[in-house]
Parts: sequence; C-alpha cells; structure tokens
Amino acid sequence: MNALAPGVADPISAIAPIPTWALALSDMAEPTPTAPEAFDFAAGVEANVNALYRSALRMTGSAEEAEDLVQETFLRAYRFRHQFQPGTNFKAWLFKIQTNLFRSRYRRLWTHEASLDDTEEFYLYQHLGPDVRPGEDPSATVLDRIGVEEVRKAIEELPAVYREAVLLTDVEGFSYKETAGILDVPVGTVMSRLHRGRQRLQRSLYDYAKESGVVG
Amino acid sequence: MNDGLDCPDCDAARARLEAYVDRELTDADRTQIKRHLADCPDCQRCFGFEEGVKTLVRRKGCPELAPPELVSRILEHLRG
Repeated sequence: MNALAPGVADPISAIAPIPTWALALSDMAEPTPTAPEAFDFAAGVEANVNALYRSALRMTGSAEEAEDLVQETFLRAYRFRHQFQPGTNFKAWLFKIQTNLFRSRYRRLWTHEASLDDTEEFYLYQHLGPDVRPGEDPSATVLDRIGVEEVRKAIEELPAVYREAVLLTDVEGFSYKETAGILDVPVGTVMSRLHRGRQRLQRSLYDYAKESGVVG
Repeated sequence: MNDGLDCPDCDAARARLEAYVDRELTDADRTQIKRHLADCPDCQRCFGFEEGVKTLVRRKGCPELAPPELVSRILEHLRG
C-alpha cells in the first residue's frame, strides 16, 4: 500500500494551520533526487512507530499521552509529507515533529533553565568500576545487574532538556549533528546537555541500583 | 584506580571519552585514543565501562513496543 500515491486526497488537511516549525526542516539532511511519489508513508509508520512511542513514553511518563503524541506526530507528518525529501532521514524528520509537539503541549516541563547539580565525573565507574575484574566485560557482569526499572526511573527523572538529548543519542542512535537538527540547537549544546544529563543519569542509576540491592 | 588526574595523556583521552563512545571522533583522533588505550589499562577499563553504560541505557532504557492498536489506528487515519 502506498498512502502517498499522487492524487490521493489529504484526509487531515483541515486539522490545523501549518506551524512554522514544520517548515524549518531543511537542516536535517541533504536532499536526494528520489521522486516524491516513490516514498511509502505507511511503511515509514511501521518502521518508526516503536522508536517514537518509546521516546514519547519516557518524555510524558504516560502510555495514554505517549500514544496520543505519536498519533498526532504521524498525522502532522502525513499532512506535511510534501516537505520531506525522500532519501533523507525520515526517522529524524519524525522526531523533530514529535519533539516540537511535545514542547508545545508540555510547556510546564520544558524549561531551558533546568539546573543540575554538578556530579562527580564517571560516577558509576568510580563506584562500580573497582568491582570489574581485569579483562571482564562490565556489560555482562556489574552493569547487567542494573534492571529495566532502575534505568527507566533514572531516565524519567532527568529534566526534559537533558532527557531528550540522552534519548535521541543513546537510545535512538542519532549523531550529534542529527540530534542538534531535531532539537534546533548547536552541536555544542547537544554535547553539553549530554554530558550533564549522563552525569546525573549515572548518579541516579547508582542510587536506584543500590536502593534495590543489585549493587553493594 | 587511576582517575587520570595525574597523567596528561589520560586527561586528554578522558576529555574525549564521550565523543569516542558516541563514535563522533575523526579517524585520526580515534586512532590516537586507541593507541593510548592499548598502553593504559586504567583508561581501557574506564572506556570499556562507559561503553557498557551507553549500551545499558540503549537496551534497558526504553524496551516498550508500540501497542498494535496504535499502529492500526494511525494507518486507518491515513487511509481516511
């Protein structure tokens, strides 16, 4: 099925006026000469829905709100699909739309002034590193004892500006440049938010792991 | 444990640890770091650990899948 076949009426064109953020997507990637009609939007939904959903879940903290955010993201993406350049990064384009939707809906959570106390560098390593024996893979030993629940809580506890940078880079695997394009900030800002966010994350991971008794 | 504070090479390497783990360094910088890691067991352990933390966050941070009914609902909307 190709939901973008030429001549197909746009079923959601009456939802809302075109927001300015949706028009500023040209920095995401270089356009390629692929014909627009060759792009299969439905396949793009199925390929990216899990990534958008898990990110929305960590950002909103609610399954119901995450579903709503993801659905609205795809409806907007479909409405503005003519602005997407086939052959460029569709996942990054969708994340930019979802990020802006999140920011407009959850202004109370969205603050550039979010402050984080300075934390010791490499907090987890400083505290758990000595438990790793020479030649041992920490992912298979010490770190493997930290569970899904501890990691989820540590991520959700991060202020939104740091959380989104960590999710985009560490969970979704976007490059600094792609993350900067999605968040509409300079690459240096992404690096700084990642650094501070990860410092805090490591502190929380250690505290939660200690609390649940998985580390000594 | 060497925290890298008393070794200029360790300091320089650890200042670029995150970019290394994120695969954001140039080939030349990456090679330089790898050369240091080959000679420094402490940094090798630290870098290995930080890569492990990144993997931990990726694997366990968001394991949920989108509900199948959400996908169906979106596709139905798109079909009009």
